[in-house]
Amino acid sequence: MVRYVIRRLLWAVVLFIAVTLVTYIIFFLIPVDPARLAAGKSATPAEVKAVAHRLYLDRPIYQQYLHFLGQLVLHGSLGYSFNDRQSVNSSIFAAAPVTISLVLGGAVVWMLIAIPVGILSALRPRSILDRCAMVGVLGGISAHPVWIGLVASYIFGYRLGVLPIQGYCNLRGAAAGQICGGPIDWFTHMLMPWIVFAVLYSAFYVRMIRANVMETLNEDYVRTARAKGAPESLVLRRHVLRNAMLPVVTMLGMDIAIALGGAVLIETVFGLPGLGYLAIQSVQQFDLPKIIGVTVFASVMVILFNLLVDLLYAWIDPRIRLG
Amino acid sequence: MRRPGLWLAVGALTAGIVLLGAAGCGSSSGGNNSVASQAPGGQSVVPHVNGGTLKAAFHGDIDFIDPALAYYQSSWQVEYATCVKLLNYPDKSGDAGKVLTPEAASALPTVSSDGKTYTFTVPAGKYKFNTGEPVTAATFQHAIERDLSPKQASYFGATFLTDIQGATGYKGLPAHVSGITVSGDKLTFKLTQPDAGFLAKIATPFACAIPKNTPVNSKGVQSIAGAGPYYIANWVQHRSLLLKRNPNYNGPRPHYLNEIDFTQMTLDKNQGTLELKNGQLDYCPDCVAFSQSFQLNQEFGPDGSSTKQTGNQRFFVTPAAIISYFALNTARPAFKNPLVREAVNWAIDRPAIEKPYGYGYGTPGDKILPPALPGSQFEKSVYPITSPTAQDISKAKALMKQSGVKTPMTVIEYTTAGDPSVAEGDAVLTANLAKIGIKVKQKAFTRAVQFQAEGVKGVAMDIANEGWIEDYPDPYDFMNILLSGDNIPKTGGNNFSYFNVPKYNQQMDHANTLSGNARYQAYGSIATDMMKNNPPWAPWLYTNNLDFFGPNVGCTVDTPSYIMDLATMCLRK
Amino acid sequence: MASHQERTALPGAAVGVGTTGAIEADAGDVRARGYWEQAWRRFRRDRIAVLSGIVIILIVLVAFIGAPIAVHVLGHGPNDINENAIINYQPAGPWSHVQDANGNSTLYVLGASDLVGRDEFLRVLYGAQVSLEVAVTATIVGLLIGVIMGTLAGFYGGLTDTLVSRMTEIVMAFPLLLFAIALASTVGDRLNSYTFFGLFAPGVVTLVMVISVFSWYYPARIVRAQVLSLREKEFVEAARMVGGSNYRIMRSHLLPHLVGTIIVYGTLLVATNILFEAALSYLGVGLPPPNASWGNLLSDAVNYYTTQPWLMVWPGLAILITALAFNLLGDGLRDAIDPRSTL
Repeated sequence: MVRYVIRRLLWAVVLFIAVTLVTYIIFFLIPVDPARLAAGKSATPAEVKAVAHRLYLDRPIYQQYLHFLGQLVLHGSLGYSFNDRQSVNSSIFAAAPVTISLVLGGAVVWMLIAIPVGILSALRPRSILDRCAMVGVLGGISAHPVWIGLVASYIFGYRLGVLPIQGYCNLRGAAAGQICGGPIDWFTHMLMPWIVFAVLYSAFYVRMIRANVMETLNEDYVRTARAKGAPESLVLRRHVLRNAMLPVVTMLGMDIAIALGGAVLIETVFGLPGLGYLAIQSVQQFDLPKIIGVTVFASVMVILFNLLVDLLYAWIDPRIRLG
Repeated sequence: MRRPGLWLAVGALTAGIVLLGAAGCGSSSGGNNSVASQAPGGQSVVPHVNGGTLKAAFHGDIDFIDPALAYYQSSWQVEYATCVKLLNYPDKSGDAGKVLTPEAASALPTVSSDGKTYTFTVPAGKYKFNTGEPVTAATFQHAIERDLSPKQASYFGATFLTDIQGATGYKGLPAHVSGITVSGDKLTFKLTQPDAGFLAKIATPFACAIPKNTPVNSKGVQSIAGAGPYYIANWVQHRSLLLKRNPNYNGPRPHYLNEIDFTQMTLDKNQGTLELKNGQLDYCPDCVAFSQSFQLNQEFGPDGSSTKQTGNQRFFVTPAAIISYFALNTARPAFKNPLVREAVNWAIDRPAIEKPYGYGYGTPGDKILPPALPGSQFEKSVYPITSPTAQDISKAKALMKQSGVKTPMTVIEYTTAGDPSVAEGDAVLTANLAKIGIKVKQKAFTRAVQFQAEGVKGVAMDIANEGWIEDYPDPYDFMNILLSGDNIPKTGGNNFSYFNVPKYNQQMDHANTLSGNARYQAYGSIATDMMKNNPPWAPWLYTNNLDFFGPNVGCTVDTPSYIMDLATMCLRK
Repeated sequence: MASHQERTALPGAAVGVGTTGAIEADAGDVRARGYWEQAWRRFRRDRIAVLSGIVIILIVLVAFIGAPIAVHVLGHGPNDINENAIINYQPAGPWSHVQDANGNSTLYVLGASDLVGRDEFLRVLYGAQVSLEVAVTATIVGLLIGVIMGTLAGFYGGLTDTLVSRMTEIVMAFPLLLFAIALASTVGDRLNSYTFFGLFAPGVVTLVMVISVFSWYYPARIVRAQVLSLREKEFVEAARMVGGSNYRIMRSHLLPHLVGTIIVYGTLLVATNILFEAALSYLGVGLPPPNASWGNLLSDAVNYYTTQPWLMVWPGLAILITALAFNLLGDGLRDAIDPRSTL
């Protein structure tokens, strides 16, 4: 196990370098001069040169990349934004709680929907419940999250006014000068985003859980257990669910990892200043340190979650040999 | 999103809108359109509460509260309420608001005969920071030296102040800049050359008074004391901003409110307008969505239904010194001939191109110098600024024929991607030019990529869909920078029409040496000559600021320099 | 010999359904049904799946044939601007009669789509063309990449498998928007000039590339899992014993069993890609103007949120119906081809 973990961590480093290096290269392929952008439209060529020097942009790409790596490894710093000059670390740490609120809260909502609906539909295939669930599921996957979000915010936010149209409120409470904060405000602002976020994912998961449970129910060992007279609930709990949930866990881990990289669309529609929003903004502003910062965060999340899920999988199912 | 607005989103500097002494409120603009004929922005003082909290928000954001770095229009609007400067613009709208008056200085400076030395008298303690520290001549010396310190990396501040002796090569605080000296309450600036715009530059917020112990910090300080009517009590970057009344302010500027609370940044426009309508919000400088401006004007404009009932105008449209134009590339065969470029100016339907941007977005026009800019009054309009008539179109066709170019002619337009208004405006342009035998093919880019691509000498582009925001109120900023042949570097240029006519280059250089009215007259006549005989552009619009207030706000004054004046606002009784 | 094996060795767990032996149709009343014939019969019985198939065919017909007819009938095109369709700085509402350039009255079925007076109805129809082209082409490309990667990873295992998994992770962590802008601003021009004899609107090829690069790993993962289980089956062992090369085995023995998976996943992927294109438009890197796609119609409609909210409904609804149809079709195909599958 230990060797496996070490090997995965080594791969993680390789992956990390691959992603960040490719991001650097692709960034510099775009015909934009970030120094010129930072220096402004009226800057003289000499001024642009000075800005480029200050921002390290006049060095060859590999040197800039090594400098970034050095800062990261030696100082734990992701650098400073070209635009607002703040440390990228602080921008990410400010944006992360928003995305985490959205994704984890949304995951809770979607699992709360998907698990019971999926299991029940599997237990009663082709029943009314099953059919309704399937239609709902398909509606959820087929409708565009942006569209659902806009319609929801229009109806509940703009027309009815029961929920805020958009924005985020700190869970801990409002800072001086802010109007909203605290758990209640946080909740009302997150409710619609959670539901919209969950609609898409719960659809996938209902389907997956239903299929997995159905497959497991047909396995021989379940038939054996039933033949031996075990009560249905026991059969469900001990045999069916454990096996059916395994692939679900894999998918869940991966989806959360990806989503943490930034649930971009939901954040943009509802104006949540999270990592997805940060990612979009940084690309629009050609702010290289922020772009890299967000990418680093996303890769770390993906790597971490994949590793955790693989370990979890191996631990639950001893048949899977690691390495 | 408008092109200037997109520019805002792209980069720190590119996001700067600097309005200095920009024109007032419709009095000097074309007047051919009902928007411009609105009353000058602002209301007279109404029965008001002394005190209270103004609930405000921004759809955009402010960039910094550090005066050495702040460059957004929104940041400058806030600084206008929190800063004390040597000279400042009065809290008045229209032309009266364009006149520099002494603030911390006791009078306008004495200028030496060679125009290179400016001496201010700054009585110590006339103004005090909210911390109690007095403002002295040394305060301003420190502020400007901080701007010029390389470690502060204040790009724009440094650009405006490079004329001061010793600025170039200055090592930074705590050493002194040789051209700035303090003796008692006298503050003296020595310039390397005479500069007619120096006073305007020293009146930018870069020269705001800041406490003596403000450190040099290239990241920008997160808190700063203010000597103006208000000071910044709290700033959570990207989230909120809190201004409080300065208890130590004894100056003449009004300051009725106790607090001004920017409770949200990056507020959704629709939500903002909704909250403004029902009074949950009092003010948001940029929350008017373009699809809403017409309705808002119908209800809350100068002749609005609600305005007639309550007498409280809540929606204002004011011109800014921002121009939108199509640069016609004179270096390529399509637009080499001036007659073709004149034809374009006759054929385009300026109001129709404006429509997709929403009601009140701007004032259609054909001048190089926006009406808000000094010098514009000396430029004459040549082409139609209403929809072209059949005669105008035939005139355009005749010019095309006269020029001898083969039609139909295909041209390439570089434009901005991701903005439906721009795309729609382009569609109108394409239809307009199709009538005179020019086929336009668009190439859309992300904004930053667009203007960088346009600035490469030899680029395969015929039309550039461009805009320009003034840096400071002087025609040099529009003409020499954008139209002088001396200003065509290999990359990174701003002269997108690659206009290089020696006669005009010389004339513009000469005009730059003049000052006062002569200067403006010279530039005005050059611009008229250009547009009449050799138009480098097809200008089409000057942008407006749209402001919508909640029902409780009063005493608003729209200044030429800093749009709505936060310091004068009050809450109605 | 190979075909005999293909007939007898059925994919996955569909044992007991369909032919168990190579009882070829010689003569006589009893005729064994081929695997695909079985599947088709199952499919035909599933009314919903058939209905969605019909809906898709209808959508395609409407998009490619109905749209030009509508233009002819209504007398104006989807990209034609018309000042008269803008009333008080608002796009005209649904079922508006406006004057066109020649002074005749013309009908805007769903009203105008923007502030230059283009017809929303026609743009939705022509947008169907673009959205379908992008989604289907991107699916084909994505499947191509995904199947190849997945097969290689599943078959060879070991280092290949690890490499493919890591590549998947790289794609997952990579900033999509940066890539889209980079592609558009560098080779976008040249890519967009490939219009397949005018069938593709400019911009379609770039979108296809962006989408396929970021969606190939879904089919890859599924194919990999399939190949992993198939790899251990007897027929593969048999083929190897007879001396088949790896390539031969992959191509002639494994791939045919994957066809069902590919078809099912293909349809589901088309649905996802329709949504993907809309998302890219919303983020500003969609189809360049003036052509309409459902994605850019939806994101443009956001500007009229408070004044003409109906403009949000039409493209959203179109996306919903089309994606739903593809999803239902995919489900139906999966049930038909392999009723016990758990994809």
